[in-house]
Amino acid sequence: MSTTKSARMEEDSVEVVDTGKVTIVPGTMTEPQCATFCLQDEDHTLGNALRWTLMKNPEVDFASYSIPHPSEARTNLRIQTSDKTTAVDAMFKGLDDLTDICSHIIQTFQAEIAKGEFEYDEEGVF
Amino acid sequence: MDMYNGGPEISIRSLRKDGMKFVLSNTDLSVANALRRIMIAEVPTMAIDMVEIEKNSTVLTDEFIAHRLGMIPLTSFDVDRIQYTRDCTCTLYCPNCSVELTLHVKVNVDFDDMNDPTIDKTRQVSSLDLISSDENVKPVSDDKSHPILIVKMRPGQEVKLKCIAKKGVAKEHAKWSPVYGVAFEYDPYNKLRHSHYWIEEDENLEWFVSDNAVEETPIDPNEPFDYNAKPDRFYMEVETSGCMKPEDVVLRAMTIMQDKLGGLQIKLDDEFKEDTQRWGY
Repeated sequence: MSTTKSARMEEDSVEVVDTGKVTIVPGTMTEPQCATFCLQDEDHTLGNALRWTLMKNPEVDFASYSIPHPSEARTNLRIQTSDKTTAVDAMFKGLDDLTDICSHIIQTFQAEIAKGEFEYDEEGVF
Repeated sequence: MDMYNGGPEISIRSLRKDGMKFVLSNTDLSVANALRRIMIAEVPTMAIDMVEIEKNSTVLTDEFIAHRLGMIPLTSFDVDRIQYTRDCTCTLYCPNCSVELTLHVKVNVDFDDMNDPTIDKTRQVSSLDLISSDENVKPVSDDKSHPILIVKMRPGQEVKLKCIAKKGVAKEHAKWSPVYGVAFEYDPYNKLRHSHYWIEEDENLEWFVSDNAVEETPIDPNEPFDYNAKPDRFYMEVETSGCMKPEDVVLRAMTIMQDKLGGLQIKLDDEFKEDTQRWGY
C-alpha cells in the first residue's frame, strides 16, 4: 500500500471530500462492510428505487436512504452488508440490478407496443 | 442479471394521440414511482425561455405576455437533436441549442367600422400567430379552431417580439413537463390499508372503488389482514401536452433512469476503485 493512499485515508476522516456526484460521508465507513453514500443532485426518484434493489440483495443487511434537508439537492444512502461483500460492491450490484430492471421494462414496453393488443385511437384526444 | 420473479411486466390498455393507459406489474412501488416522477419532472422538452420584446402596446405587460408564451407547449419530437444551452459552446444561444419563434401582429384602425358596434373589433392573438424557424418545434395545435390564446388586441395596438425556445426539464420549471398528468393507482380495494378514508358513517357507501377494481378480486371479509402484502400492480395513465408521443415519454423516462444509474456507476468507479483495493477486497 502506497503512502499517498494512507495519507488520503486520514484526510477523508477529517474533511468533506466533495468532488462530484458520489461521495462517502466522512466517518461512516468504519469498515468496508458499511458506508453512507452521498448522491449529489439525486432525490426520491433514484433513492427509493435503489434502496429497494439493494435490499433485494441477500448479502445486504441494511439499506436505507434519507434526504437530510429538503432544500439541498442530495440524498444519503446507508448500506451495511455481511462479511461476504463490501458496501461499495453492494452499491455496484444495486446499480447494475436497477439498470437491468430498466432495460427489461423498456424491452417489455416496446414488445407490447409492437404487439398492438390494445385499444388504439390515433386521433383520439381527451 | 438478477430480475426477481421474472422481472416487471407491462400490459397496455389503450393508446391515443395524447395519452395512454397501462398496467405495470410484478415490480416494487419504488420503481413504479420512479417512472412516474421521471415522466413528470425529468423528460426534456422544448419551451419558450427568453422573449425579446420589440413593441408591445397591448393591454398586457411585457412580462405577462412572456409568461404566457412560456406556457405554450411546443412539439418536441426531436428534442434529442437539440443541446442544452449550458452544454453548448455558444455564448447566449444558437441554432444548436435553441429555436427562434417570432410574433408580429398589428391591428389596423378601420375608420368605416369604427363606430359600428355590431362588428367585433377584437383581434385574438394565439399560438397560430407564432412563426417558428424550425418546422419540428412549433406550438402544439391539434385543433386549429381552438388555438392557445396569448393576448386580445384592439385596433391601433401592436405586438412584435422574438421568442427563444430552449431545451429543459420540468425540475427547473414546470413548463418543460411533457405531461399534463400521470394517474397512478394501486390496490383499488385498499386491501393494504395504505389509504385512510375520511368517512361519515360507512366507508363502502361513501367511497366508491375505481374502474381499475375490475382487474382485482374484492376484499373477502372473512380473510384476515395480510400485513406482509406489498403492492405489485400499478395502474398508470399518462396524459401528454401533445409535445411528444405518450409511448415515447414512457420510454424516454426509463432511458433517463438508466442514464442516471450509468452516471452514478462511472462516478463510483472513479471514486472508490482504489478504496476497495485499499481494504484488500
